[in-house]
Amino acid sequence: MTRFIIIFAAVLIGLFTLEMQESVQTAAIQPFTSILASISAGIIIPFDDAVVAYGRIIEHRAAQFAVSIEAGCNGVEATIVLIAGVLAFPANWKQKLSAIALGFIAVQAMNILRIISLFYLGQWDLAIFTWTHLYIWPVLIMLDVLIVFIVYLRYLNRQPTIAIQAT
Amino acid sequence: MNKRSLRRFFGLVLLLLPVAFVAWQVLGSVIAAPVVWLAGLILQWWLPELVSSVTLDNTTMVIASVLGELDGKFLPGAEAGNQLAFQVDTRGLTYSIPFYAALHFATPMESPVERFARGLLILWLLVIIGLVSVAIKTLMLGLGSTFFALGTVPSPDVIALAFQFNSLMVPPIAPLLIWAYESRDLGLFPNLLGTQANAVVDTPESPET
Repeated sequence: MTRFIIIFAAVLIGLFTLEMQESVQTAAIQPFTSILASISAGIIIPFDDAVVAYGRIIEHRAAQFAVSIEAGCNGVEATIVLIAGVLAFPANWKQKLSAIALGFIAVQAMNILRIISLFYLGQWDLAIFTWTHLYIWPVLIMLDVLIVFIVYLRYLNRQPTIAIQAT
Repeated sequence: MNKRSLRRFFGLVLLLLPVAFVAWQVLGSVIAAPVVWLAGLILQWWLPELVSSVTLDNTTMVIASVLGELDGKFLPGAEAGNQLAFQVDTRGLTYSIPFYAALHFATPMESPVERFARGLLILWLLVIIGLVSVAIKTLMLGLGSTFFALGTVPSPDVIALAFQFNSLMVPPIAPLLIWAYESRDLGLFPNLLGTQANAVVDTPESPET
């Protein structure tokens, strides 16, 4: 367990520090966040043609309401937690990379659901939007990470002759 | 934990989350009081030239500065004729507590209340660190060069990173880690926590990973 904790903490702090660097934010995180906004808008627009997206902003022209997706709202931190957990747990690299890739999709799918729900909650009631945005969704996203991680461990458990030896 | 009990566990977590969040909302100031008091002691000990007092207003930590502002300059409160105050929302950090409560009480374990109290104590300590980080960042942004003139504060990069880590990462992760440790004998995390060692067989052919 000590080994798991050390690797988990080192990867978590290392990746988080990297993510916070201005150059990484400019080169990777902000473009990624813009893509996320476009995907979210792309899902909404067929059902609501008053919606437009530009950069990291999604706007509802009829309701005159817009949200900007900022650092901390793009699921990157949740993905970092998942990566730290997967890398800290003994398995081969194919298993680890598959878990990270599938986990990333699961986290981002949940995050897009979060963005869309917040976009409409904000139009309905700002107090509920704030409460849900700041307290409820971070918990649900982390619960999603936990589910992915436990499913991964169960998968590893069904591989009787692989893993656990060394990393 | 088999597939069925795992589903039951996550279902129970989702049922308990609203209950825990309502309790957290109702007990907001009671939950925040001890951490704000201790964070206040740390801030007053660390930055006596800046922090006059720290109080709790509902769930908001209010940091009263010894400084006031006059014509855009920061001066001692008596000279300025006013006193600056900074606010920190404790809920941005204490929401880890209802999350932990839902995870904990959805998990069948021995001595649940005693274990919950242990976990709560750890979370409170982390919230204190978080409050100090947020307060330092708030003072830095509010006072600018006056803040750094003290010489006893870390660099802006360290303050920013500590703030981001303690407000973005710690509140959602800490409950998971504490709960995982408390649930170590349930087989949720085989081989991770030194339990269920028979779940994965070690063989000489195991590939190096």
